[in-house]
Amino acid sequence: MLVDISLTFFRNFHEKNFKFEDGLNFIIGPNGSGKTNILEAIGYLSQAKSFRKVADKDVISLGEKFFRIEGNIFRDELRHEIEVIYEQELGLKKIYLNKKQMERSSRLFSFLPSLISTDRDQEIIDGPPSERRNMINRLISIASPSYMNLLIDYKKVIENKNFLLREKKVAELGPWNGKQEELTKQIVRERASFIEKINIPYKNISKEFLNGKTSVVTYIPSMDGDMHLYRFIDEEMEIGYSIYGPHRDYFEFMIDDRPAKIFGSEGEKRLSILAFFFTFLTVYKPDSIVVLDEPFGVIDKRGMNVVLSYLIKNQTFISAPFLDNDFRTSYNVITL
Amino acid sequence: MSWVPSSLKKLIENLKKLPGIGERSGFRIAYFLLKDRDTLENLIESLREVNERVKLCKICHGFSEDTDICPICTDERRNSGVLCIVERPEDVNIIESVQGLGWKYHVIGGVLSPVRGITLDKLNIFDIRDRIRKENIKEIVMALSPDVEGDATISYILQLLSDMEVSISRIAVGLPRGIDITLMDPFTLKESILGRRKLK
Ligand SMILES: Nc1ncnc2c1ncn2[C@@H]1O[C@H](COP(=O)(O)OP(=O)(O)O)[C@@H](O)[C@H]1O
Ligand SMILES: [Mg+2]
Ligand SMILES: [Zn+2]
Repeated sequence: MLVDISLTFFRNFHEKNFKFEDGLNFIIGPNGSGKTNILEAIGYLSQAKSFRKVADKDVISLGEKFFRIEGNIFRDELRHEIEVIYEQELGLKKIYLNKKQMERSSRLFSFLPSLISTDRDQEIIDGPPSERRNMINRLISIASPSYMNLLIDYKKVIENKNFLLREKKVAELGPWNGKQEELTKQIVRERASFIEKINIPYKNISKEFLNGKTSVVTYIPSMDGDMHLYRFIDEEMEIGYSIYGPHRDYFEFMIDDRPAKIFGSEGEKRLSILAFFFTFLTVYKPDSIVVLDEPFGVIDKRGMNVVLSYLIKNQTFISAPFLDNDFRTSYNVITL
Repeated sequence: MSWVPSSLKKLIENLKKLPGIGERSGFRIAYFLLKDRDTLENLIESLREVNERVKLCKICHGFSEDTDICPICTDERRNSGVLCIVERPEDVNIIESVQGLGWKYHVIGGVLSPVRGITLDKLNIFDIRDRIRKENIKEIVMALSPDVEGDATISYILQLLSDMEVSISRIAVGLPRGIDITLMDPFTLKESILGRRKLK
């Protein structure tokens, strides 16, 4: 669990420390008070970047030259410290785990996995396929850390392959295509079994959120596990980069068997994603933190109790403009 | 800033190019050498000597001294029929330290990584076929990095040797993935060699 977080020159916080508890943590305050900023900083400790899709320099407090986020984590009965520092002048982000610099920021995510839901969730449904792939990749990585290694390897293969395709060095493609086929089989297998495992409970859970409508996710791999890439060499050469494989896999959210992208209301889209996250928590019981930025904007009081019933196990951070008194007594509340 | 002899500045700049040496340690080493002129003379001599005497063997591309062919390649007793393929000259010593003196080696000079400019023509792989024939090699043991680049390189070599009568194995890829042999302790390395996996 995340014990506390210290912010220096991060957004509207010049020097500030917040203490958290296991279970639910509410962050309450009026608009513009910095609720999302705190959640964003928590996100940095896990994903080393902003979930708002802004550059690192933009989260530095106006007029300052660096930001620093430090978090203490209690894990395996030990205290660990994560530190993220960004210096604008050098354009350099450094990440330390227990004072030791981390080479790969993606390793941070396996140290502190996070599930983050914000009002941008809609983009997961509305946006390009990469939005959905990234989200699904994050969830599978939480459930199975070796999956992240597959993705890292796969990315390296595609980079090298694209280089050769761009340079028209077909003769050297063989070993990379071989490796891509091997990794493709494993990635597609992981994704297919993930979606299969989640869809039935997802139907039931989404029903609770969508007033009786049901959601499922469909998965269409770009390439069958037993397809061979040499069949596409001419096509890929022509285009100059790799166009078949897991980096082109397609996921779609359906509500009552129709694409949510086209037929879903804005509220339904966010609720579908929230329900998807809760299904994931229920099925996989992962040891991850959960971050929900103003989920109650789209949920009524009954829905609120449903949401809370899914969050018994994971340490959770929820922002809201105000909070009923009966909640105030049972949970940790940070008021801005 | 106070005055520093320009030759000394140049030395510090050159020291900083060495692995693991930054501004501070470069500075310390340079000042140390100027105080201890005996060590400095020995170092000059030693640097000149390695530069003149150590070259790459024409057969295995590992280190040799004074001669075109290294003592490992000319050693008649190395007749086990095993040829171990490694990335760097220094890997030969690492493997040899746990494996004994029976094997021969072939240093390919890296692993495939087109994005970093390491393409097939940069690697010493096309002369492996010749060595198998001439030196009566029965088994190839690959000791390359356990990562995608290593995998791709191995799959290319497999293809290159597909019509040859030779068994090919790879030293067991331990966990965590990405740890190469220079970082392994001797015990783990020995285990990986013993547990090598047959590829062909
Ligand atoms: N780089 C920055 N430097 C200083 N203040 C910032 C910076 N970025 C955002 N802010 C301030 O943070 C506030 C918004 O915080 P936010 O967390 O989005 O509020 P909310 O509580 O509504 O979620 C705004 O008042 C904005 O001016
Ligand atoms: Mg907000
Ligand atoms: Zn030699």
